[in-house]
Amino acid sequence: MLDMKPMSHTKRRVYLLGFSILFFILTPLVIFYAMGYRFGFVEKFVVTERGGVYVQTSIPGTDIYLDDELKDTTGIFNQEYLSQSIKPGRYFVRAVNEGYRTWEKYVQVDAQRVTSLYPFLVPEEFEFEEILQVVEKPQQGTTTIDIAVNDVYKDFVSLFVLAEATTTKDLITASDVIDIEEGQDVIKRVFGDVQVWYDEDEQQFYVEWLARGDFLPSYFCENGECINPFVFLKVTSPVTHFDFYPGRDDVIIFAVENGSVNAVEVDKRPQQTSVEIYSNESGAPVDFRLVGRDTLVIKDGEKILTTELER
Amino acid sequence: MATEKGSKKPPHIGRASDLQGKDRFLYRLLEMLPATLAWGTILGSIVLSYFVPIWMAFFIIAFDIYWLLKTLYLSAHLRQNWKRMKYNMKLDWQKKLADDGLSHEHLKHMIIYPFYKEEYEVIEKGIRALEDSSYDSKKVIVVLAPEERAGEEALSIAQRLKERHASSFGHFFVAPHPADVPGEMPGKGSNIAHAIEVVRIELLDPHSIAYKNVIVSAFDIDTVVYPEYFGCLTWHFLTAENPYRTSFQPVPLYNNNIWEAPALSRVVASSGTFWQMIQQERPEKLATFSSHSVSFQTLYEIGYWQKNMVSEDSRIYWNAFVAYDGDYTVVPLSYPVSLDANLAPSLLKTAVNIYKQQRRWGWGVENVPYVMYNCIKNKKIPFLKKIRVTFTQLEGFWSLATNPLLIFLLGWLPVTIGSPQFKSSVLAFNLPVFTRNIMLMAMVGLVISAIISLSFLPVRPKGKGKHRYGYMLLQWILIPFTITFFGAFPGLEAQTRLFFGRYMGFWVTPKHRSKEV
Repeated sequence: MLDMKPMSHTKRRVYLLGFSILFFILTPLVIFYAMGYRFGFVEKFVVTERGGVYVQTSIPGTDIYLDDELKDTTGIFNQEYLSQSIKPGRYFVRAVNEGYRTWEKYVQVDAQRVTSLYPFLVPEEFEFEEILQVVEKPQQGTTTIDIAVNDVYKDFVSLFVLAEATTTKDLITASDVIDIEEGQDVIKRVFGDVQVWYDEDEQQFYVEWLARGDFLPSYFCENGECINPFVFLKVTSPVTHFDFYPGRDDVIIFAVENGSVNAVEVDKRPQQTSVEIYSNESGAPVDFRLVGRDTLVIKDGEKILTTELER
Repeated sequence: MATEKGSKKPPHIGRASDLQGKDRFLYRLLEMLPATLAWGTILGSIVLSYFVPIWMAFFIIAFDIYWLLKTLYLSAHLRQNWKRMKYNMKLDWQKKLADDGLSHEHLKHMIIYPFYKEEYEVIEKGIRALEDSSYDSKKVIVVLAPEERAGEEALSIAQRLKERHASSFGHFFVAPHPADVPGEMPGKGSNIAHAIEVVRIELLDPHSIAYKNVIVSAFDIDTVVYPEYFGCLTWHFLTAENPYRTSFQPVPLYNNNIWEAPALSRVVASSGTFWQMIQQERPEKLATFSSHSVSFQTLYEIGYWQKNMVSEDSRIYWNAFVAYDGDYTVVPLSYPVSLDANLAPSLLKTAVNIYKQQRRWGWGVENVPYVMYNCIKNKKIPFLKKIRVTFTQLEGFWSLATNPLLIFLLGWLPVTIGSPQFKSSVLAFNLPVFTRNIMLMAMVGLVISAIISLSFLPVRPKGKGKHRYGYMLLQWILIPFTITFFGAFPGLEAQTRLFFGRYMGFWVTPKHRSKEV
């Protein structure tokens, strides 16, 4: 006989049985835990349900607070914070970053659900670059300087040509128009599963969730009541143009006739972030367009200004 | 015991078209079964992820835990076999035979080397290892079986080797396999089946050598034996409960060129070795693979290897299993033979060759319909044995084709294509985290693998720095990639081909060695 034998049948059976029992014990426990159930043995066996908060921002160095307790600071690679073990209830979430306006929100956390938040962090001040109408071009071999029209300026102005020739309502193409009430036309924009439209007569913005199923993002619901669509903003001055903020389906940028360009969160749970990006002193109308990935182009009379928006 | 050639010959079915009528239909259905299960799992995962992601998430968590526990379970077997192999490699088997009073003077070892266009040096390395073996080489019959299709060069190599080495052995045969024999598929099976019959007619019968006294080792051409291989084989043959109802399986180590092969090739090769080591501890799940040994008497009774299919190495076991009504087994030797890891002049070519080799091995799925068909037809095989072998075969090929995909790709599907409602659940947020963590725990098994792989490395050649040992450890991070792209994908392709009746032919793995070694 050999001193070193194969693993015995008995040992193998014990292993197999042990691992099988472990499988049948572990699997339901892990599944329940993953669903948000927690088990406790303080006085007697208690099962409680938990929910979660997920905060994601691409701006590094952002401190995430939950009920005024610092939970995490984001970095270049670590752009998110997830707590999936908190009791259902109302929480106050803050995102703080130097140089940005503090973002804060009261949110409801429900059992087995995660409330996702994408803080809308905007700089304390927007820096604009004015695009000059003309540029100086020195002639080769002489001291003479030619004055020429700036091609960049021309390109940006061309973005607004159609707008100057027509009214806002004329801008709306057939496919953009929907009727929400008889006789009323609206401007609408769709980004992913979110549709936002502006009602000119009522001077208010609506948001609607379009995705399949009966799911609604948490900001459609308050105190257990969900409304789809809902009004998220009323304006006092007529809107001349609006669009989604670059890369976001929960923030819009809009220009109003009184001479300002603003950004506002669709999520109206307090505090609904609303910022004035640009305004002129005269109160004359301004307009804007989004170009490329993140460039905001503002037309104020003959002036063209640009700024890069952070996502 | 029967003594007529093929007196116990089982049906040599290569594919459904070898049968007629209802049998053909049944066999065809069985050919389609493995791919149906694999694709059913993959497509089912996609459908479930979209329509009922929560159930798919439950399945994924359960599967992850199953995978983790299975890894631990198999690691225990691997560790045990590692100890056993190290023990067996240190043992003086000649002394062991003497100490146990096992007379083996009457036994002869016939080693068959089929080859196609392999280089002289590749073949000679194996023959030199036979000469260097501690076993009496005068009791060894060497059979070189070149393919006639390979041309004059192959025949010339065989003759040169015979001239140079014949005197070292009891007998040395060159038995070229004729080209274009009707009803045969060109490949190893038809080659060695022809060669062994030549030796029977020209040596065994004229010299009245009893078939029962000849142990045949059907080796891949790159097989290099360790010095005590034949001692170990002989001891196991003589102590087997019924050596004529038994095949003997060594552990294939891909060490011949391991220092030359790229990390990709080393990981795939070592993974194959580990799987064989695990199976050595579970002999009831073991079938013959690659280089293996079996009594001539058994081979004679069952009509040698099949000539009309690719996976003759494992099929010979199933042929015997069917022929002897399930009363057939494999004895694991827990002793290695060394073979070539895949190596080509470029990394890309090596990767292509690895894929093709794995696809050929995955084509072992052609045994599934054979086993199931014969389990249905042969009423003498015990029922529970039928259930066990059928389940083992189906589960094995299903796991090969689907498990890596389930773990590394499909596991993320519910979070990707599930409904927004599911995506906002705690379960959806936890699923990737749990999957990742469970997989990381399962990867601990890799540490064991890395240590074991180092312990079997041959001596580091001159010119290869010590830092290479570091690479040999780090290479294991490639596992998720290799088991997906060189495990699941070729396995799935092989099963899909079988489903559509696009049968594969025998693909000879090119053998390449660096000239400076």
